[in-house]
Amino acid sequence: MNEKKFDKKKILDLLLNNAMYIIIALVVIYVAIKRPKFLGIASIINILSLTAAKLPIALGIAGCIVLAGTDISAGRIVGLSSVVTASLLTTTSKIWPQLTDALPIPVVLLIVIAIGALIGFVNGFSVAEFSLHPYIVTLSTQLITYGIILLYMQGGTNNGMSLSGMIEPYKELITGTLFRIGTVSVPRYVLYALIFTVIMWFIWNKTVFGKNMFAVGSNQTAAEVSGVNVKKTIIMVFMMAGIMYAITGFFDAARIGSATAATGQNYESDAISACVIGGVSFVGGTGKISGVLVGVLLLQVIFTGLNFLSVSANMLYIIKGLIILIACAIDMRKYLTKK
Amino acid sequence: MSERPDLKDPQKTQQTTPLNLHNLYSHVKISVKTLDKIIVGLILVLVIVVVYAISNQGFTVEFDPRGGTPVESQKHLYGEKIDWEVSEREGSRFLGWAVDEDCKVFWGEDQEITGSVRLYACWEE
Repeated sequence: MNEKKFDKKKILDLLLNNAMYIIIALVVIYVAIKRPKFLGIASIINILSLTAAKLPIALGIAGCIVLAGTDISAGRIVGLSSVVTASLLTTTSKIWPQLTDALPIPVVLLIVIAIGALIGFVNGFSVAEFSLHPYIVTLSTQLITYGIILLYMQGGTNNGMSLSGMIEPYKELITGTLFRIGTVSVPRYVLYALIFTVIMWFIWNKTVFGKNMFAVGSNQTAAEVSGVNVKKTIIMVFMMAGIMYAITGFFDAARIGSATAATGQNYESDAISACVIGGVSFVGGTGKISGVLVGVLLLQVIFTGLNFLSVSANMLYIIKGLIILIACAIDMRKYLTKK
Repeated sequence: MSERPDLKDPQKTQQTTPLNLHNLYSHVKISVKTLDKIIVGLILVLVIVVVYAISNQGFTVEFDPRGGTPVESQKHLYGEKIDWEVSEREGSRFLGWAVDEDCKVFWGEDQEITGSVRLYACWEE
């Protein structure tokens, strides 16, 4: 009798802890039956490409969540990086009319990385030095960054218009064909996203900084007592995140083909949900790079599937919000049962 | 030697710890049973929303004629093509529909719909 009760509890635990995966699996099965094209090569490559595009931002934000924090300025940093890239890698820049030719691609990449790192530094410094909650700090930098984007878009003779017409070598570098499967081409940024995933895996698992990050996330006081420079670790995690957002923006300008003040808007919500689905816990000190990868992929699968079913973007916002809520509730459940 | 926290005075203890990154759930006071009910409730809400979203499926295609004769918006499923309509404006020639106001990216007549879209009429004076 007792054994039966125990089994029932075990099954309930299993079902609830994996509820998100079960829901996603059911949606995928339903979409595949209703729209068989969903499992076609073109659709799978589309899902993989979109996953690769969203991966760097999720890898960045995951570090902040491991610290038991968050970063809601991520999307706007992507936007700023995107508009700066688009304005400097064109031969007819309306924002910089004095530029008669596009800047060298590596220079622009370094500029946007510096911008991302700087905003990340402001986030990390404010959190570490003034003990402010990351939510408040990143909310303020989100607004400040958006203001900067709007001002930047008004620069020169642009008057807030969208930026496009980027140089071909840059577009080719990001969206050029890596290889083909049948008639469908896999873009180059899929490879770059894979490289960044490997780099981040190395940083998280094989470096002292990575170990310090988990130590600070698990127990700050214990980490401090053990000799970890907590402030430096927090600042570096936020800077690393800023760099990843900047890289996402650098990809996005070429991937989308244009950049507007709205580029990157709400990207952080997708990235945060992907991290939580992938097991990066808001408890802090818990998470794996493979989890982030799976989280981004699963989220992309479900949204592409819903798109195949012609679900409107308005409804997708509600579904996204509910997914975050359920993922957090499951995360909280795991924490409470452990406690 | 690091200063030991004063356990009798919580305010003083907080002051000696410069950073305060608590985990998100450290102050949560809820039983696992109640949380289970909340999770099941949320899942039900999600299922209802998804079912509603699927039953009201369809992407909206809106047309901005920009001074031309109005064209009614259309509702289509994923992969369908828009019902091609032409707007007219006195003294101007209709070039087509574009996804951007600058008329840099035109919408092809055979292009498949993959999401809601707003199309702008492009004119030659």
